[in-house]
Amino acid sequence: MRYLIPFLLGLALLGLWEFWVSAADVPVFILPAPSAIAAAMADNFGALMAALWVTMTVTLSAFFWAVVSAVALAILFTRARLIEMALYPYVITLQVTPVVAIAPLILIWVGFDNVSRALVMIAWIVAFFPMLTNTVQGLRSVDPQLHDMMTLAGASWWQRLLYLELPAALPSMLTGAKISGGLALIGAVVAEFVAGSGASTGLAWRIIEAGNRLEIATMFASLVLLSALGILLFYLLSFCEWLVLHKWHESFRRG
Amino acid sequence: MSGLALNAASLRYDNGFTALNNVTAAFDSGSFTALVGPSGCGKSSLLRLLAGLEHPFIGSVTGLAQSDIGFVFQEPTLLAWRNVADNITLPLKIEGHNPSEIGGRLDEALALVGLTDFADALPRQLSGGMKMRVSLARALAKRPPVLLMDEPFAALDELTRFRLDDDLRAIWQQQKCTIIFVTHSVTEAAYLAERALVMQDGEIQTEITIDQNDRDSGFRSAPAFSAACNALSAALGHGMETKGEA
Repeated sequence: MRYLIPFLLGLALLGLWEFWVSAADVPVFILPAPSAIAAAMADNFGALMAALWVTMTVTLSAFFWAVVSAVALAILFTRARLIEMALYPYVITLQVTPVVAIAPLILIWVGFDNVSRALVMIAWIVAFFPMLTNTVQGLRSVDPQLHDMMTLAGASWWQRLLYLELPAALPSMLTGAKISGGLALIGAVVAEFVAGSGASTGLAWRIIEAGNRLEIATMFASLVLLSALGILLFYLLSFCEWLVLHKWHESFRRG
Repeated sequence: MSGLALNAASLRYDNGFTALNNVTAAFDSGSFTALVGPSGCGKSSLLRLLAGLEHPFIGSVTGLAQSDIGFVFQEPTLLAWRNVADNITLPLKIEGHNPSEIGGRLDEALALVGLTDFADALPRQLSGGMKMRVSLARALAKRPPVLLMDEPFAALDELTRFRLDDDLRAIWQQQKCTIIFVTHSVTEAAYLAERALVMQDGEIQTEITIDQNDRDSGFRSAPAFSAACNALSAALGHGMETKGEA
């Protein structure tokens, strides 16, 4: 039922859309019918899949680096207050400055010899922050008595990290990862928009290109693939969360 | 002597609160001492000082290595993602014992607290009393000469607490370890301990020795038990009065 109801709703809306477009004779360069979008998808399948691959690579690399760098920095922050005090304002600056405004700079600095590296870097900036704050919060909220218990056991700092802090922080980290995953995709799209013609061949660029040629059906087809990528990423991360937490964490307790 | 003593020790926290003021106390090897007093009287602080989790502001603590101390917290303090066996063996693993040694101690500790059939259970599958037993087993698995317990059964229902009190007495007699047990319950102190230190405002106010005759059966209805309860209540009541007047 949970999956059937939204599926039926979607099907009904698509039917309505198809009917309305043909009944009201809406021009195809304003709103193409679902069937036209499907046809555009089939016609450009090879090119669209290549574009999907490019965007997916950028998104996943950015997400990977966001997770690795955020967890490393979060551990450093919780170990050394001084480093946190010194770095935190700059991390916030990076977060609040609109990425669209930083992107051209990064493209100039990094993009000349390696565009895809610049794209990954831009998407990384967007994805990094929620992962960092959630991990820091997770590492910080460990029960002090559990820390006492580790102290009495004579745990070294990495034993404390491995046996206590990281597992205890996992729920927060996975929440951060779900947000970061979505943001990495947004960052990848923004980066492609900014990088512009010739430099990028991802889905976002396909959308601009198709728009310029008034191939609205191809725009929609690219859009569908972008959404699908986002949804896939979200459910993949939700599945990871379930896999890691369902046995012991309160959020997966039934009833 | 277990080597455990406080010598005119004071403890002050960073916020300026003086939790212990010039406390001197010694704990004989194999003895069972209860620390009794109202909330905030410093009994938990005293325990943390003995465990080396806090350090005295003035005075000194003759303590033990932390590896010789078993500590049972007020809450079960279990790692939710590790099963019962893995929770119990974690300190042993950290201390670097070999796997067969760890296995032997695990079985022994599980048997002592009566949880042999629950080694694979996760904490959330256990009742409050069972979680506390796991916590006790984790402390016992270290085979510590000294067991420090900070109101371990305070959050449990009375029947469960009576049963755990009985089991703790039995474990103490069998293991012959030194136990220092913090509680705010007069009856629990009178039932468990040989000696009770009544605390008030960061100081030890009275020391009461509890008659250990008639221990064999039904101690809760023995005259010695009610005598100890009365003595403890009187000591605590007196403490409250002086506080009220001041």
